[in-house]
Amino acid sequence: MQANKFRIIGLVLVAGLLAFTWLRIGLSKSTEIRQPIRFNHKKHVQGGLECSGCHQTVKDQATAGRPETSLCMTCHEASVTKNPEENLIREYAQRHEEIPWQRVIKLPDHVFFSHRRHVSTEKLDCTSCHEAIGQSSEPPSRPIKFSMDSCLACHQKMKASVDCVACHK
Amino acid sequence: MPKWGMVIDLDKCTGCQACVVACKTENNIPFSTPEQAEMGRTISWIEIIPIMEGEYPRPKLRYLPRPCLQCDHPPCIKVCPVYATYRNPEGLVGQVYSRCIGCRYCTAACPYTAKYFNWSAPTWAKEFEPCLNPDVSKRPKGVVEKCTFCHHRLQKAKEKVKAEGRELKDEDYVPACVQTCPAGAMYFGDLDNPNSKVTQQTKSPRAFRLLEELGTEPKVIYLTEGEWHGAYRK
Ligand code: HEC
Ligand code: HEC
Ligand code: HEC
Ligand code: HEC
Ligand code: HEC
Repeated sequence: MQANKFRIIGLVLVAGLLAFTWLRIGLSKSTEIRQPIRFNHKKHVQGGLECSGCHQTVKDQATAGRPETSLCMTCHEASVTKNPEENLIREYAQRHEEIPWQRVIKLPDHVFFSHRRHVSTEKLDCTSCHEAIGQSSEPPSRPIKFSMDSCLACHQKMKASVDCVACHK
Repeated sequence: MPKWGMVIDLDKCTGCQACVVACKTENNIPFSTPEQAEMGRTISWIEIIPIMEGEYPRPKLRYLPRPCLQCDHPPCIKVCPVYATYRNPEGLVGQVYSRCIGCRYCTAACPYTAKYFNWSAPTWAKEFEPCLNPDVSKRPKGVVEKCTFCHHRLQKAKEKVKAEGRELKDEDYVPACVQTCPAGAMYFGDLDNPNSKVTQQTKSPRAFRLLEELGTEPKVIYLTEGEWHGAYRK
């Protein structure tokens, strides 16, 4: 009787452990982001390119925007490196396609955020919110989260609005 | 700090419903089905309430457009157990959908029936999806919503005037209903500014507020020659 009980408990534990690992693998796969081209921010920024040169609407719209393939082509018409990733740009350009970049940062639908408000009128540096990305040589492989606390911490420090409906639409 | 308010001239209102349509499109309010309407579950942040007076053969129909009245002493916020509805520094009654737990106390507490519960998840025809307003979120099932005086328009206006380096003027921020009203029966502006159009209108002897005796201090002021006359003292 006693032995049976232990066997059942053991079985339940093993099953639980299996389910847990399976879920973990499944979850991490589903949140992984694979960009179509392994874009290297560091090399481009060190080359002297302004953030707003590629994210062109950042100063006058809510969204920062992603560069069009034609913009990449102004420099990558011919090879500048031996990196095979570079050829992918020309392949997209030949097919007259935009590169299907994945979103790395995405606030929930119920939050209002405007780059213009922060970048053009408050002259905040991109690095005050996007610390690492300009210095990374690989696109982020996981979504980047912005917590409400991180917004509020700066708003409190800079005496900006902490009214719920300023951010929640 | 401005105090946003609205004036509605009932003697000019023709009951045409243009404000209702403008509001629904502006704020991503889903169409209701006949079944939902039957159950009283139609969402309409501004509603034209018809009031029948007199008897056949001389009935008189009056119309009362009713948005959220943005009370200065809102009964709804007192009953919210989770701070999902509150009065903000500019006097607007905010509604934070992500915070709302759907208890509907506020819906019951509002004497003007201005609050609406989402009994089902909103749906739109596929063709209609591109028409949705990205500045306003789609509310999920199980939360309460109401008129916000098109607060997202205020956010945009503030950003615009900041970029242009000037002060906010009354014309910069107008809710969709006021902008649309073909009869020119609606006015909007800062009630704390003695020179604004709305403040001037509230001085009219025709001015009154709905259910004044409740002490809710609504910031929507009505004008009429009719029998409501004279209830607004300030
Ligand atoms: C040569 C053009 C170029 C320059 C210059 C550039 N970026 Fe980017 N940026 C991109 C591309 C392409 C992507 C999409 C691929 C990726 O996520 O790495 C991107 C993605 C991003 C993202 C992630 C957006 C998202 O949600 O997918 C951020 C944040 C960002 N860049 C910030 C910056 C900042 C800050 C700078 C300046 C330090 C900068 N970028 C300079 C081209 C550029
Ligand atoms: C105050 C913080 C803050 C600053 C400063 C800021 N960003 Fe962002 N950025 C965000 C947030 C938050 C998001 C996510 C927005 C969303 O999901 O709607 C974002 C998203 C992005 C994206 C991807 C989505 C999009 O809008 O296209 C890019 C690219 C980007 N930022 C680039 C920049 C660049 C370039 C700068 C500097 C000129 C900058 N950001 C400055 C907070 C900031
Ligand atoms: C102003 C010119 C310019 C623009 C615009 C530009 N690049 Fe580049 N890119 C360069 C240069 C220069 C290098 C070589 C840098 C090095 O090797 O130090 C490079 C390198 C690369 C590489 C190889 C990186 C590596 O790690 O070897 C890729 C991939 C690439 N770019 C993609 C893009 C994409 C995608 C765009 C458009 C969003 C773009 N580039 C826009 C100048 C540019
Ligand atoms: C690095 C500091 C900083 C961070 C981080 C930040 N903000 Fe801001 N935010 C500001 C400043 C400064 C203002 C300008 C206030 C003004 O214009 O009066 C502002 C203004 C705003 C406004 C307009 C407020 C109003 O008065 O109407 C909104 C909305 C906003 N931020 C949303 C966000 C959101 C959402 C996040 C987080 C994803 C965020 N902010 C993160 C600094 C920041
Ligand atoms: C400065 C901007 C800002 C202000 C002010 C703000 N929030 Fe938020 N809030 C956010 C952001 C950004 C998120 C999304 C965080 C995330 O993705 O986890 C959020 C998330 C939330 C969530 C969680 C939603 C979910 O789906 O998990 C709730 C609830 C919430 N906020 C309530 C409030 C309330 C109540 C107030 C006022 C007291 C408020 N917020 C003020 C920016 C703000």
